This record gives sequence, C-alpha cells and structure tokens, in this order.
Amino acid sequence: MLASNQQQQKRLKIVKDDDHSTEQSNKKPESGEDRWTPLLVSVADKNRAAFEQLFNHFAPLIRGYSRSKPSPTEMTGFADELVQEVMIKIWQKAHSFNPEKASASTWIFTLVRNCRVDMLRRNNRHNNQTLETDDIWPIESEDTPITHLQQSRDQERLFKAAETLPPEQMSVISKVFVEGKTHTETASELGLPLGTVKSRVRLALKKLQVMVTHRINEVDL
Amino acid sequence: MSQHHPSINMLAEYCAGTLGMAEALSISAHLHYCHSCRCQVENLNRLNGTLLSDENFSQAFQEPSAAKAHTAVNHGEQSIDSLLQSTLNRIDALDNHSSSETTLSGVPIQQASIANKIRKDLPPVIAKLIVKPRFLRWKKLSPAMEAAKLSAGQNECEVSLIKIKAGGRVLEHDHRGNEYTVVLRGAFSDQDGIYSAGDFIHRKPNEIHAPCATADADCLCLTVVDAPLKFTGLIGCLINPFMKLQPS
Ligand SMILES: [Zn+2]
Repeated sequence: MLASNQQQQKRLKIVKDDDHSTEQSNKKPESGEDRWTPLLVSVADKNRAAFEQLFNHFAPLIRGYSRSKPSPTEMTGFADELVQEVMIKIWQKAHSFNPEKASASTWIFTLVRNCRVDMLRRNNRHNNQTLETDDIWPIESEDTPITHLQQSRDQERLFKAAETLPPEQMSVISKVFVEGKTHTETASELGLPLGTVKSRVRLALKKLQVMVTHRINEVDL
Repeated sequence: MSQHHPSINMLAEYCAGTLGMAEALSISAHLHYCHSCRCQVENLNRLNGTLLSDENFSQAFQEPSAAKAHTAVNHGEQSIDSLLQSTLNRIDALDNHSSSETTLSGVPIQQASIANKIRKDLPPVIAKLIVKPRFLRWKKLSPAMEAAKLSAGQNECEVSLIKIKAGGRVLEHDHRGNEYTVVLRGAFSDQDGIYSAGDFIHRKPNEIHAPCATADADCLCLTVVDAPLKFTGLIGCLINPFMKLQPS
C-alpha cells in the first residue's frame, strides 16, 4: 500500500514536472538515458536488488500497456498476470540478453509483446501448437552490434524527436505503439479514415528517423 | 536481396504484436530474406521499447491520473509491492524446481533448427511448420499448380504453400480479401513484375491477377488469404470448392 502511494506521488510529480518543463532537466536523470541496461546485465547474475529495481520501474508500465488494449477474453487479472509472466521471463532469460545488440527497454518490450500474444493464444481454442510465438516474433536480433553509448544516444534522440511530433501524429503514434492498437482500431477510435492513420504513421516514423531509407517497391503505399 | 516488401504500416503492426498470426507468419518469412526489413523491424522495436520504458510517454497515455490508478485497484489488481512479492515467490519456486533444467528457454529455437536441417533454404518458421513434409496434403488445382494448407494457429485466414510448375500459368483469379504472398523458391511473374525468393506481394480485395512461374524452375510460395479465392477463368467453378475457407 505504501509503495502504491509512492507510485501515485511519483506520477503526480511527473504530471507537475510536465507543467513546468523548464525546471525538469536539473531534477531528473536525462530523458532517454538508459538506466536499465546495466541493471538487466546484473539480473543475468541473479542480482535480486537489480531485479527489484527493474520490477518497480517496468511493472506499472507493463500493466498500463496491457490495460490500454482491448482484452477480448475479459480475463480478470490479465494485466497482473502479464506483469508476472514478463518479470519471470526477465529473471530466467536475462543471461541471453546481449547489451551489444539491444537496449534493455527494447528487449523487455519484445518479451512483453510476446508474452501478451502467448496469453491470448492460450485462451484461443484454435491455437496451433506447432509454432511458438517466439518463432514468429523472434526475441533476438542478429544484425549490427552497437555499443551501450550508441544505444543510449539513440534512445535519447528518439525521445527528443518524439516530443517534437505534432499532436495529430503523436495521438496516432501513441495508439499504434504505446497502446498497441491496430491501424483499423486507431482509425475508428480517433474517427479518422484508415488512409489518414496510415499516412500519419508514415510521416511520424519519417520524422522520428525510424524509417529505413531505401524502401523501394514497398507495397500498399 | 528482395525487391518487394511489406508496407511500413504492416511492419508497425507486426512489431506491436497486433497483426494476426497468419499475416505475422508471412512477415516473419519475408524477414528471413530481407536485411532492409530486419533493420526496419529493429528500429520499430527500439521505438516501442523507448515508448514503453519512458514513464513520460507511457504514463501520459496510460495512467494519466491518480484517480485512474485508483479505479484499477478496485478492479482487483494488486499493489506493485504485493505483485513483486508474489512474483519473487514464483521465481523461488521455479528456481528450486529448475535444477531439473527445461524451463521456458530454448525450446522454439531448438526445434526450428532441427526442422531447418530438413529444409535448409526455407525460413526456419516455415520449415518448422512443415516438419514432416509427407504430411502435407497437396491438391492439384490446375495442371500447373498445387496447393497444401498449413495450420498457422488462426482460423480467420487460410495459409497455404503453393507450387507452380516451371513455366506454368495460374488461372486468372481475384480475391474477396487480401492475399499476401512470399516467394520461397524460384520465381513467378504477373502483369506487374517478376518476383523471386523473398519477395513479398500484397494483393488487395478484387485485384485480378494471373501469376505465371518463370520457365527455368518450379516456384514455391507461401500465401495467406483472408477470404477465399474465386477464379474468374472458365473452369473456375471446378476449382473453387477446394479453396474454400473453413471458418470455425
Ligand atoms: Zn523487405
């Protein structure tokens, strides 16, 4: 209970900080600074204190992530179960995390996404047993090793770029990514034509420099 | 290098985990061949990770006020503290058990790599889906074309392997739904271009096309159709029953 009060105070503080964004920079760690990768590396050595720090940061975020999505099964406690499954996977798989290939937050995101898909599949009687969710959405990326510093800078750049998105692009991006809605769901929730959602996603990704440049012959433009 | 790619919108839905299993399977197959889309997916995952882990982003959209957090508690969710405690308890229990190895890790990759030895050139995910090729039930749809259904764990779509004989021509057909094709081996062409291994093709509803394998080799494709085919050619009526969707 005490902890949840702290959480609430923390949230309120963030809301306040946003109101006075000029004061923000000297109070908080630099936005986008990657505090989590070193912690995740420690969790690989079964460091419980590091695990608890990761838990306290990510558990509320995972819960929010889960709550923002339409849950077709109306499972009570789905969000809490997702938090637990993800955190257990983090504990068990931290040794396979390679900080030269991904940042902790990217790696944890892929676990969250796959765990959620897994839980939904388990509730689906048409579930095919041959394929694991991880077969279709691999956790490991094999391309381009980058340093922790590069990761950190990249995340910071992304973070700053995201803050400069025009509101109409940000609202689409937050539905499609933060809330994990399909483009169709996003269109109906925002009362926009599907084509507008698609083009706003593309514009925003270009602005965030997330778009890989040489995408010729891409279908469905 | 593939020349034809899924749209960035489709990749975004794939990365967010909102794409259906069958469509995601076709993306996954394409990624096996395409470095550029793998980079794109990494970028999108990084964006997702950044947005998830930064409370300024996540909480702005998810838990904007203490009041909202309060209703969540009423919905039977635990406090973070007790959630941490029960997670730690489960971890202890698992750690005690797992002296006898086999936990969650490793299973998918291992199986995939065994399957991969059987069908070396195919994307691991497809190889795994056809671990036992003799179980595939090929149906002749025309003199030049055979199809075998795969089960991808989703009943809204029909997932099939399609074989087109070298130089063979497929009946002109159109779709009531979307059709996603990934060329796995060989090449085929239609009125819009030539597609070879790795290429990803999306045909929208009611687009009519008549694919044709190139003359030098058989063509093997993965197709995902979210509504049944209907052939527009003369003998279409004979073929259609085989291609019917089987909804639940
Ligand atoms: Zn591609």
